Amino acid sequence: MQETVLLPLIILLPLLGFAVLGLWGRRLPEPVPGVVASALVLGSLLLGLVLLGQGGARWAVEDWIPGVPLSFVLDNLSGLMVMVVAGVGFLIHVYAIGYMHSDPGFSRFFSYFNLFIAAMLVLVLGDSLPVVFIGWEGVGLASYLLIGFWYTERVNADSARKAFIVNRIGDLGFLLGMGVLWAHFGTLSISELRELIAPEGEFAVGINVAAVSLAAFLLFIGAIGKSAQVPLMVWLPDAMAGPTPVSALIHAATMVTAGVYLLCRNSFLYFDLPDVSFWVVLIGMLTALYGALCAFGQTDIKRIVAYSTLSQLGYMFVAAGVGAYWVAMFHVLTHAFFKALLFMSSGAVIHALGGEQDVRKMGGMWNYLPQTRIHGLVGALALGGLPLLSGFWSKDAILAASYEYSALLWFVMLITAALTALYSMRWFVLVFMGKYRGHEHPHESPAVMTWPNHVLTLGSLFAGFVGLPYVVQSENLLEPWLNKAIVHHEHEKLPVLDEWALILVSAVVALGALYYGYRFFQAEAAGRLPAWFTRFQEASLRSFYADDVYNALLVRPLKSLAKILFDADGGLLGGFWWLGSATGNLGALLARLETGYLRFYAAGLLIAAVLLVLVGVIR
Amino acid sequence: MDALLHVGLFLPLLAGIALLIWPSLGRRLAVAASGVTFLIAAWLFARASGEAYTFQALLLEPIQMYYALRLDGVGLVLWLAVALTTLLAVFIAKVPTRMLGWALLMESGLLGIFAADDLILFYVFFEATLIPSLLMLGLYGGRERLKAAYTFALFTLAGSLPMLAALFAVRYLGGAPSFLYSDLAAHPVSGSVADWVFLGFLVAFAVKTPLFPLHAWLPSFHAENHPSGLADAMGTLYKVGLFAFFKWAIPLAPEGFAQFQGLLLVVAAFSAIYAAWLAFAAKDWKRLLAYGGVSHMGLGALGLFSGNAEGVTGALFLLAASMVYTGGLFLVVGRIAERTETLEIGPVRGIAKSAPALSVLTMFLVMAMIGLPGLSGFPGEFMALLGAWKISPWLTFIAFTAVIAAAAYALTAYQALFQEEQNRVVSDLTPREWAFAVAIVAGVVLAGVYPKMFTQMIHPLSEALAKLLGGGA
Amino acid sequence: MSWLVVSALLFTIGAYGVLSRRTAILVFLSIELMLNAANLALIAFARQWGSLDAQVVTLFVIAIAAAEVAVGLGLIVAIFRRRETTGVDELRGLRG
Repeated sequence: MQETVLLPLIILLPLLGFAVLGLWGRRLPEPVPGVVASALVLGSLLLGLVLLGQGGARWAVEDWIPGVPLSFVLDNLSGLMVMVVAGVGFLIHVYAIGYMHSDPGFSRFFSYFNLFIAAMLVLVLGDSLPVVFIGWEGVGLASYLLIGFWYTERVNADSARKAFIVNRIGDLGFLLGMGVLWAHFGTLSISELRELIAPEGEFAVGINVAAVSLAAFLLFIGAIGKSAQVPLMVWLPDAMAGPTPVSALIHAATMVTAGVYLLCRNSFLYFDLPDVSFWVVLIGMLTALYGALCAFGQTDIKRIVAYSTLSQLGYMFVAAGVGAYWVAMFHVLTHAFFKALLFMSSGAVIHALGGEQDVRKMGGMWNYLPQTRIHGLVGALALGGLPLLSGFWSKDAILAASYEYSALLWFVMLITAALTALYSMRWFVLVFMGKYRGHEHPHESPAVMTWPNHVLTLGSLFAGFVGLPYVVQSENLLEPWLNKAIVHHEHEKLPVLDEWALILVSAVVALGALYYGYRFFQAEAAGRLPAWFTRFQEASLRSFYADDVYNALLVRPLKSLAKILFDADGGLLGGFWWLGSATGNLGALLARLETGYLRFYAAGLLIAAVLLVLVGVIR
Repeated sequence: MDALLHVGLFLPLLAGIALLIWPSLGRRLAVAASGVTFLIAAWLFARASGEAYTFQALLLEPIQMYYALRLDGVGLVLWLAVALTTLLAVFIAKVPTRMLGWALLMESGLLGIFAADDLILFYVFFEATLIPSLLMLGLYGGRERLKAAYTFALFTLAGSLPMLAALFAVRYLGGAPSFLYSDLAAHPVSGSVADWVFLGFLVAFAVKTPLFPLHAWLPSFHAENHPSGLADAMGTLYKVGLFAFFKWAIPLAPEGFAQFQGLLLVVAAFSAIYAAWLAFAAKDWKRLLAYGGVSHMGLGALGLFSGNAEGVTGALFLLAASMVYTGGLFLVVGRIAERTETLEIGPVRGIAKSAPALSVLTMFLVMAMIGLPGLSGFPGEFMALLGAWKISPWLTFIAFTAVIAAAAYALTAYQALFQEEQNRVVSDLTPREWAFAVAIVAGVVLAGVYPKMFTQMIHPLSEALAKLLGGGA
Repeated sequence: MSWLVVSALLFTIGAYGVLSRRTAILVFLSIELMLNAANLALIAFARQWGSLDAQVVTLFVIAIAAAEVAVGLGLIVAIFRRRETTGVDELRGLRG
């Protein structure tokens, strides 16, 4: 591990792109900003890989704010994320050159995109919680800017704002979590905290477990917000208002996995806290199920994929909750490939149909888009968990880990996996199968958009082989490599037979569900669905009324209370004025005693004198 | 060094008087004077060695009142903030020339507040600054300006009288030989006297922080001031309450502070969330910024009143940072109002289309205001949180829900003005505004990315205060 | 004792005069009456206790009363010149 100033350079490259493109991008002719931005991200990726190859790196400024360093670390965990962020990020940058073609905000888009990459790298590389938080809010800002990229539409601006505000709820948890750690351990450097809390892979003796629990829980709230888990999931589907590359990069492959990364990076807090971990598992499980159910009713091609993201993030949380941190990161990796692929295939379809996003007006794309159809198929199958594809291996690892935790959890996750296979087939069938139901003239995307998808297709096919179960490969590539950077409990491996049985079950379930889904949703494409299912779809389309509940219970009461208080505050000033005028009125009242008649005063004098004398006499 | 100190302090005063007498001298003089002042502040800041710049001369022998200046780390940071904001304000605001003169007079007063090391001198600066502020409101304000000015004056004066009493009590009941800070601090008052003394200071400084319910003057003050934002920016600088608590009220009557600490924490937390909430319902930009400012000062006050080093540093950092970004926002809003002829949120929409650079500048300052990490609003807020959590987790939680509300009110207003369907074409930044933008963005980013530059000046003094209060570092 | 009764009577008459007269001159005279009632009481007590103090005070009062009459009458004359009246009921410019 070397001290090197090259480490912050990884971040500075895209930041430079942000500044330069933001200031002068509009003077550059069209493809140039995109090329510059992509090249800078590629530079970050290569630099990161070189440093990682040299065994990692760190860099710090002490006392950035008193007691808190500005420190970065590149170890295997952050290295993996750098690969995902800059690697997949680079591909999506290239894709966007084609997708954003002839948009008036072309250079602005790439400027924001580079800002996002820079912020995400800060988040990933930060070795001090406030530094992570810089990236954490930075990606939130980039996400806000990009969701509202086409800000002249009110819906888009609203969605962007909603995303930012909901994220801030989680951020408050993050902030307060840092408050706890600071109050009890006096440092916010992650590596120092790790030394203090879990020096030997165990909680240190005499540590305040309650404080650690509270901190872990609060940080988890932050993760809930950023990764759109129940109950803060409402912003992610709306975030699809942004351009499709944004959905692919930010709201699928990278930013939303930041919550999972946070849990893994701080695994030393969670690994020995069964109570907090239970909550992580519970939230993850609920989200996985909820997202899967919501995906069935969506009619927007991107929202289907968005809900599947929600669901897959739930899987990752379950993995982190049961203590299988490397598995969570494994799923982050494979998910980045196949989900980016799904989004970009969706983008290619939208592009082909001149901006149409409604799956009811699609269909039959198999005949029109010879390359995108392969991308879509591979993406959908990987998401659905077709055996041997990347999604299968990582999901299987999660299922195995949850089986060790509890059979019930395993069962729920298995059901969810079946649902996943079903809706991924729904997406595929509605878009690609049957007859075209619209009136455009679909055309395949240019090479600059298909080539990134080719690479992602390869990733979706083969990325799973870095994390094979031990019964297939006794020591896979990823687990020991990642575990160097993660504090966790060593698990006893499941017996060989159980492991095989689990693999078999999930393979059978996935195959069965994929096949059944393929058949079943041909009926939807033809408009022949059972009545119970259409009713279910209506509820699902409105995401089971989550937004309505929030609006009724929180947003509207808070807004009207704000109005009332605002008027009341004017009343407060009125109150001070009243105090002033009350004094004046009292004075005016007393002034009425001044009649101006001399004898009135003289009588007063006399009466007072007499009274005084009387008082004297009586006493 | 001494000479520079006095030049920095009185140059704006002289230039301001000159401008009032000969307005034909024009904006150039105002910019030059405040520019030189800024350079002096920056020079002093850059040359700071950990020792404070000091100067003492006996002014009134019978009561042992000194003309005593002491510019320590905190003072330097605040000088820098005041000088920068004033420079930017007189540079950008489109106002009658005489108004610039008043602004310069105010600058001298403000610099004096942060440099005075004698309590009477401090009081003089503290009160004298009121005059130009009031006059700016009364001469150049909006339709209801007189009522607003009355309110402002009454609140301030109602606070000043108890402070005047406290000021004499703290010396004569404490037994200090002079009004010098060092003498007063060496003879702190104790017992119930300390309570009363602190209460006296409290009223005056709470008006100027401002803390609920003594913030009531602020919204109408801002709403009625000249739409250019010059007076609002200067008024923002005048919110010196946190500094005054830090420098005078708490060290001179620590026992009194201990007595009121719990109450103050509650009030600070309540101010933070209450004002943030109100900002959401505000219908014009100036009220929005006014309430937003109250909310942020509430968070700062929470840090300060927690009495530990990180909380105090956070509060002072936040104070200095908010001077620049809130002041800057008032000025930017002034520029926008000049283009759209209204300060209301709602009627004008979608102007980002025709003024992209202006929208980016505004977004930038708004993000600084809502405490986006990496910009100047964050370090102060964050340290205040770290400090406050140690004292009262629950209050911290309640107060810091304001950061959620901040995102809500700021972005809602931003969206209403800049986004959605365009219904007005406005011009983008002029070269002059570009210069303004570059300067303020540089300042905001510098303080956000490298807060160490400022915190290392503030922190030793905060540690001293924390030690005095027995909190430890 | 009877001196005191006379003094009290004088005082009462004076007080009545202050309250009932309408012209400043008569009010003023009534006040003088009350003043002299007080003088009388002082003399009476001085005689009673055989002390000179009160007599000295009385002399002072008489001297000061003389000065006061000069000032008071001067005021009344000045007021009459300006307002053409000395009626105390008309002179109520100071009412609240």
